[in-house]
Amino acid sequence: MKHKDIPNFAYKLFQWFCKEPLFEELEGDLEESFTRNVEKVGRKKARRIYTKEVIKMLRPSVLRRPSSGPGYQIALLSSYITISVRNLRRQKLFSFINMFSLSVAMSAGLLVIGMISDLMKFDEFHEKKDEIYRVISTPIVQGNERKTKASSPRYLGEELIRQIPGVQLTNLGRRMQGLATANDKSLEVSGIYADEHFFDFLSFELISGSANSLANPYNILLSESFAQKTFEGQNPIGETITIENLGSFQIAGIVADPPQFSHIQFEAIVSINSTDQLSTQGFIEATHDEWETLYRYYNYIYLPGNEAKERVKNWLAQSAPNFFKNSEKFTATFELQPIHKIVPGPNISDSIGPKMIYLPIIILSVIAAAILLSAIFNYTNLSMARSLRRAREVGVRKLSGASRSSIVGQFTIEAIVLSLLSLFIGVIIFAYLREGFISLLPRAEEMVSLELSAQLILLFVAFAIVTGLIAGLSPSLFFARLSSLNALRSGKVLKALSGINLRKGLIVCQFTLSIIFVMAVVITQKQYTYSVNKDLGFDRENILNLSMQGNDPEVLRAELMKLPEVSEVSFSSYVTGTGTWNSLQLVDKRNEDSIWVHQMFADERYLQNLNMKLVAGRDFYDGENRANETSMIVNESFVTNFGLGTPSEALGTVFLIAGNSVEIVGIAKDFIYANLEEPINSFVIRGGKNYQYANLKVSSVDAIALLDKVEAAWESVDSKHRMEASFMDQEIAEYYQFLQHFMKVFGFVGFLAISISCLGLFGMTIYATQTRMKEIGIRKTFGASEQTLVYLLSRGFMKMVGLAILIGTPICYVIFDRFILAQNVYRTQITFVEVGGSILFLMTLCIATIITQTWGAARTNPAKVLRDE
Amino acid sequence: MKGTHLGEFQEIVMLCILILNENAYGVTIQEEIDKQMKRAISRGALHTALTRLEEKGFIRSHYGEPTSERGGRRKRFYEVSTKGLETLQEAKELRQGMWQLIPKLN
Repeated sequence: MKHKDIPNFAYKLFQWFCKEPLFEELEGDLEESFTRNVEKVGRKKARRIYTKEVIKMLRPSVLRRPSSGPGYQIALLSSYITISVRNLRRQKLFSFINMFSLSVAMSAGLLVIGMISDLMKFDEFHEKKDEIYRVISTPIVQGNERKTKASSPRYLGEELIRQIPGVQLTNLGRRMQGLATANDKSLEVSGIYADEHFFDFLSFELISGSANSLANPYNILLSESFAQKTFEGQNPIGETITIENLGSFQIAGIVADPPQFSHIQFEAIVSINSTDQLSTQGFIEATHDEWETLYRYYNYIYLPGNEAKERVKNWLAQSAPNFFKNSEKFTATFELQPIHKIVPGPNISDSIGPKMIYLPIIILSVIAAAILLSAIFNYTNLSMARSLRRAREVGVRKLSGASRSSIVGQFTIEAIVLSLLSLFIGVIIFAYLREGFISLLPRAEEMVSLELSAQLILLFVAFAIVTGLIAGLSPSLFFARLSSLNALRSGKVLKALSGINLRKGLIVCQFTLSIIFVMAVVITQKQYTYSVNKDLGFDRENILNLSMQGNDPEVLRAELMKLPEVSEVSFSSYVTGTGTWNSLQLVDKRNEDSIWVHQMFADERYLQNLNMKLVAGRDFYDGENRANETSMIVNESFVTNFGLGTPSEALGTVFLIAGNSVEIVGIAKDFIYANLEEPINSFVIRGGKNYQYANLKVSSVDAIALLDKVEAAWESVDSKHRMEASFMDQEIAEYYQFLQHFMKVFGFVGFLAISISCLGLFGMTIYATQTRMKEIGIRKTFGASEQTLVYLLSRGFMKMVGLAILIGTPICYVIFDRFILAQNVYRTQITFVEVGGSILFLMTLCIATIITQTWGAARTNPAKVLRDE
Repeated sequence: MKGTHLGEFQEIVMLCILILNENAYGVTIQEEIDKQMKRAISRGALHTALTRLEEKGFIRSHYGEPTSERGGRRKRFYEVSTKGLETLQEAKELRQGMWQLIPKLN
């Protein structure tokens, strides 16, 4: 019907965006103006005016509300979000509980995600990372395959590039470490050996000097931070650095510190050609460059293109093993390992730097997923329990034309909003737990930092959205399916919680885990207190152990005794009670049998210094055994194990140690020389030599001031080495730190388990009481007391918790009594106090959870509930 | 009193509707404004003003008969309501009052 000259596009556009009821009026007006304009200004100009007018119609009062498309979606989304926020605010308790459980569970997930994301960054900084490989080898010794090694024979790479053109190689070696002295300073250094191609395709940055210097023996490159530590701003290039047990090296350049996420870590790089001379001097084994020695060197190769890769693979499979001298005795298979699959990677030995294998990552992921699923299950449970309240809202929405998809949208968005809010709290918990988590994993502090980066935050948000989607799935589908008739019928009990037995079962499972973890924490705590306070048979207070680092005992003693705080100095070969011991082979003179016993070396002041008791005989004399070993002190167990009769009868018995006849001169009371896990074995105290520690008996004053004085004394004796000293009681307590780590893990997981299961219980209670309101009302009218009603409502739940305790307690008892504590010879006992205390704790929590709901229900005025219909 | 505030442009539109009497619809109002005020306005801008006025209850509208000159589409005629007329009066008196207060002119 439109005028034939009206521009088609503008007309169509107008028709598309204009509100339906306005179109007739507005288009009519435009068309009328158009016909007048054609007469007045001509067809062409009229058309232009028409188009301009249409464009000016683009205003809110004219624009059609989109019924689909992005604008519509955004409008809908913002409405969902508004309503979600309102709902969350209205149901404060419900939201708080959900947010709390989700955020706690999420923090566990975040830790795992953070760790995986850090590990994925490993070796990503190499620009050619997709084309760099390392040759790894699996030795076959006399036909038996051994564990795969990250290393490979020294000259494998050179043979390889000789055969296959277009391949680049860098040869690395490990175990370059020792005390480095330069610029009158001594510092421990650890690094690698490398050849001049080190910088060719690996993206390490050479700051000064040249890569070619690595071609010549006895050249060294220092890392930036190590150079700074040693030379403090002076130019180190050309200087000499001496490394203990290796030799002197000329500093030829400075390398930027390797990135944290690199599996190759070094403070210094020594030219790999130095190894030949080092081996002739006997510093490293003579066989270091043989093909059979495949634990020392690494071959990193750069392989551009698939064709080269295939050729290298074939060469490694077919030609490389021919280099072994006697392949029946020793051969190996070789594989290529992409550089970005080293960390995290398969469990192979002899790695050049830190390694992280897949298994702990998988275990942690599973734990985190289980916790999260538990929290999600609770969200579902609680949402369903609240369904009575929300059903009416859904009914009204449906009656006013909401489609199923918009109901699903509403509930899904609600879950996502909640989960994003939980993420916020979860990240705070994450930041708080971060360090503890890193310290739990062996060597993890070298590998993961768990720092919040933009990328990590994005990952977290994605994670939260996925969590929300999963959590919202079940409630949203339930509400979408709900018929509006059912939803609106008042007092109608919704069959929301189908599979009620399954839910009950899950709650029993959750509480079983909870009681196990509560008991685990209590028992571990008890064992820790026991371990730290157990009488070990010697005094550990006020003893400062000083590592002697090769210094002469007499010189050190003379210097230390000058300090007024030090009342005595003795010497020993190790620190007792910290989990280590040494073994010794003795020959029994009576029957020429050789027997293994445990031993330590100690001087004549040691026993007195640590207040160890002698049950018979005497201590060493001053200077005894120094020239010739003639006497030893043994413990009571020794006497019993060898059947030497009473302690006094055992005195004078002679044993052979390394050919010397050594006589028992004293019997020491048994003391715990290793740790609480090991039984006390036959133990020998020898004198005269091999002292590693000076044991300072100090007066209990200000520890820091004391350490300063001891350090001053130490420096007057040895200026090269840094003093290493620690108090014996602290060192022993530190040895049992692992128990505290256990406690932390049990505590954290237990806390998660308890809070999540209590919330689950809470949800169930809400549901049960709400569906039974009418029954409660009737009972009340007939005279039931509030106490009776609370009892009635709580009974079922307490049964579930009771069942869980009945299952969990024996499991936990057996696990700890038979397996975990049983590893210790000296252990605490699990008594009624720990078991009862744990049960009481959990029961109190459960009762409190249940009562909050049932008490309220029991107190409701029956008139209110009965009036409903 | 946002609901009953009368903008300058809205006042002009109402005056034009009153001038046009029975024949006030989109195109004629547009032309009248152009004629009186020497001001070319778009139909879109006029529509916004008309919508606001109608929301406030100052004008009423009804559809006329379909005519062939505009592709068979009906015209929508506008007329000023009593409430609108009163508001216009008030606005006029307010201004006149203010004019009289100007000392230089008296």
